[in-house]
Amino acid sequence: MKRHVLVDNVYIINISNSSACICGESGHIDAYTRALAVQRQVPVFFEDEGNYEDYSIFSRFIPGWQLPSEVELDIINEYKTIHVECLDVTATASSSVVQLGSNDTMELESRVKAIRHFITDAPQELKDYVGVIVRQSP
Amino acid sequence: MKMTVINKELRVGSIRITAISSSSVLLIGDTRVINSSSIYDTPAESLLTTPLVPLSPGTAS
Repeated sequence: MKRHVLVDNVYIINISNSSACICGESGHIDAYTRALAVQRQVPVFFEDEGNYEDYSIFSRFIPGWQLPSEVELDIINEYKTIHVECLDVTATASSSVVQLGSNDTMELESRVKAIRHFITDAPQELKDYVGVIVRQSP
Repeated sequence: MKMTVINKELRVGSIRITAISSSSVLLIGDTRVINSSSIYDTPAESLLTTPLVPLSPGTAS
């Protein structure tokens, strides 16, 4: 028998990018996120740019544990409740999970490709521009 | 191999976290299996120096 969880106060500001906040019990959680993180010398981005199939990081195999384990586990819960008075989380992202309660299995995966893009022909006013410009594709 | 775990009383005052990211877990409770993986790529060829041309369009938009 799994334990109950009692949390008096929860403060969370942001949950994003395939993340989850779960109050209560769950069976299986599957979270998957992929992202192209582009930093450009000038803040100009196009609506439909980026193709995950161009980069091997989004398709390569990630090794995992071989199950089931040979360990025979016997768990005795002498107290039926886990008590937390206050939980304060500023942000969650990229397939992360905040759960208040018990779980059985979780599969979490995140794949991020970072690209730094320097621009050779950028006009000075674009280099000085503070903000983000999103354009239709040329 | 056999292993016995006895869980005694668990009482926590407060937890303060700035950020949880990239397949991480904050779990207040019990679990059986967690399979968490995160890959992050910043190789030399991800540094581009070109005129302002977008990445090729596709599934990321």
